[in-house]
Amino acid sequence: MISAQNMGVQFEENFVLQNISFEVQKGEYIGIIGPNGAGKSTLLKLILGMVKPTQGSINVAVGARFGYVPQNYLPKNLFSVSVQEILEMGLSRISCWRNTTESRILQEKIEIVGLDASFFKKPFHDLSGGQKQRVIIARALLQDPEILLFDEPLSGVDFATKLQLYDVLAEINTLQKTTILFVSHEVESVVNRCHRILCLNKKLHEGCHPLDFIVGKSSLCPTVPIPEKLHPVHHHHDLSSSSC
Amino acid sequence: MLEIFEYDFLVRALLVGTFCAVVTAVVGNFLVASRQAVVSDMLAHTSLAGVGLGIFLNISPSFVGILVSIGASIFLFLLGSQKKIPQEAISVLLLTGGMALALLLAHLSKNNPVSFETFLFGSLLTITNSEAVLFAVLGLGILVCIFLFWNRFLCLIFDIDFFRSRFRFSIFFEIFFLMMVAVLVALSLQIIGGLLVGALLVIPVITAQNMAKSFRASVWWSVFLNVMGVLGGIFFSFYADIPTSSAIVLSLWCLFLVFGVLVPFGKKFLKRELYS
Repeated sequence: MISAQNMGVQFEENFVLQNISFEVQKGEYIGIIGPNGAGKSTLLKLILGMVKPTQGSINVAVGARFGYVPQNYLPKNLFSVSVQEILEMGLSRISCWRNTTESRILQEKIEIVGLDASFFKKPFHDLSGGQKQRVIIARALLQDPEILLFDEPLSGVDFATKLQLYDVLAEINTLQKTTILFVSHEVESVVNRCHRILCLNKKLHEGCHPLDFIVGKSSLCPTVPIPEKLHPVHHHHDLSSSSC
Repeated sequence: MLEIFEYDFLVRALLVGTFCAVVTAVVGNFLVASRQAVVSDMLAHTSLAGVGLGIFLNISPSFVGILVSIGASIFLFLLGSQKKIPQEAISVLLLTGGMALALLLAHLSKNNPVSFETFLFGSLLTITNSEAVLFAVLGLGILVCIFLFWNRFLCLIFDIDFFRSRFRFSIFFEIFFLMMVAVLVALSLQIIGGLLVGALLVIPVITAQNMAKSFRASVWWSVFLNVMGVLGGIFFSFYADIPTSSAIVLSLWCLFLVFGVLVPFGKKFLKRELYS
C-alpha cells in the first residue's frame, strides 16, 4: 500500500527526515513514535503528497482514498460553524446545495464515533475537546478511506474517551481492513493496539518493527519511553469491552 | 419621505448599494473566518495605488485598480506560502506601500479631472449606469463562484491542512479565493471608498456571530445586517445631508452596538436574573 525507499526531506539546510525505508501492507495498523521534531507529521504529509521528498522516493497505491486527522485540530477562532458543516467538509459535494441522502451517511459515520444526529445543529465550538475530536474522526471516515492517517489526534482528550476512540479505530481496522498510520506520543496506548511500530529518530531508522522487537529497547527512540512489557489488545472486540 | 425615490441617481445608488452589501457580507464571512480581515484593508490600499496609476496614465482607474489588487493578492499568497513572514506583516507591507504609491500618483496627477478622492472616500451617489452594470456582472460572478464551490471554500478556511490533504490542486483554490476578494474590494472602492471598504466586509460578520449557530446562519444574518446598514446609511445621508460612506459605516456601527453588544448583554443579564 505504501512503500518508501531511502526517503528524506530537507528544508533549506536541515534534514527533517533522512534515509527512511519502510513498507506498509493493506489492512496494517502502524504506530509511529518519536521525539519532538523527529518528522512524524512530515512523514504523514509525505504520504498524502502535501510534501515532496528531496531524496529517495515514496510510493502509495494509485488512487488510494485517504482520511486525515490533522494535529490538534480545533478551530483557532470561535467563528460560528455547526457540527454538520464540519462533517460536510468530508463529503465529495462541492456546492452549497444539500441532498437528501447525505444526512443518512453523516448520521451513520457520527454514530461510529459514539455521537448521534442530535449534534448536527450544535455549534462546533460548544462541544468538549473529546466530542470535537470524535467529529473530526467521523469527518475523516466520510471519505470512505482506504488509508487513515492520524497525527496525534487525541491530545487534550480525557482518558476514558481516549480508550473508547482507540477501540473505535481498532475496530475500523479489523472490520473494514482500513490501513491506519497513527502518530502518537503516548507509546503505550499505540503499542498495545497496532501491528507494527515505526520509530522515527533522526539518527536511527530501521523501518517498521514488530511489536516484540521494540519492547524495552529505549535506544530505538531516545526520549520516548518504550514499555518494558507488552499487553496486546486483541482487535476483535466490541466497543464496550475496554482494554485497560 | 419618499422623495428619495424621485431621483434616478439615488434609486441607482440604493440598488448598487444593496447588491454590494449582499456580496460583501457573503465574502466577508469567509474572510473573517479565515482570520484574514486585515487582507481587505491591504487590498483596498493597493488597489488605490492602481486607481492612482489609472488616473495618471489616463486609463480606466477602476480597471487598473482591479488589476493591481489581483496582483497584490497573488504576491500576498506567494510570499505568505513561504511561511517566513506572518501574513499580517506582509499585509501591512503591501498596505503601506500601496498607500504611499497612491498618494504619490495622486499628487502627480492633481490636475486630472478624475478625482482620486472619489475612490478614497467613495461616491455612491455619482455612480454611472455602466459602472453599476460592471459591478452587477462581476459581483454576480463572485456570488455564483462562492455558492458553486461553497463546500470547498468552507473546508479551505476552516481546516487548510485537511483541505490540502484532500485536493491535489488546492493551491488554485487558495489563490482563486484571494483573487475574488481582490476584485470585490477594488469594485467597492467607488461605492464606499478605499478607507472604509473593510467595514462592509467585517462589521456585519462580527455582529452576526452573536446570533448565528452555524456558518450558513452567520451568512444570512450578516447579509441582513449589511443591507440594513447600507440602506439606513443612504437614507440617513440623504435626509441629514452628510457623506454617504460615513453614514453607511456609522449605521453598521449602530447595528453592531445593538445586536453585538446590547442584545447579548441583555440576554446574559436576563439569564442571571432568572437563575438567581
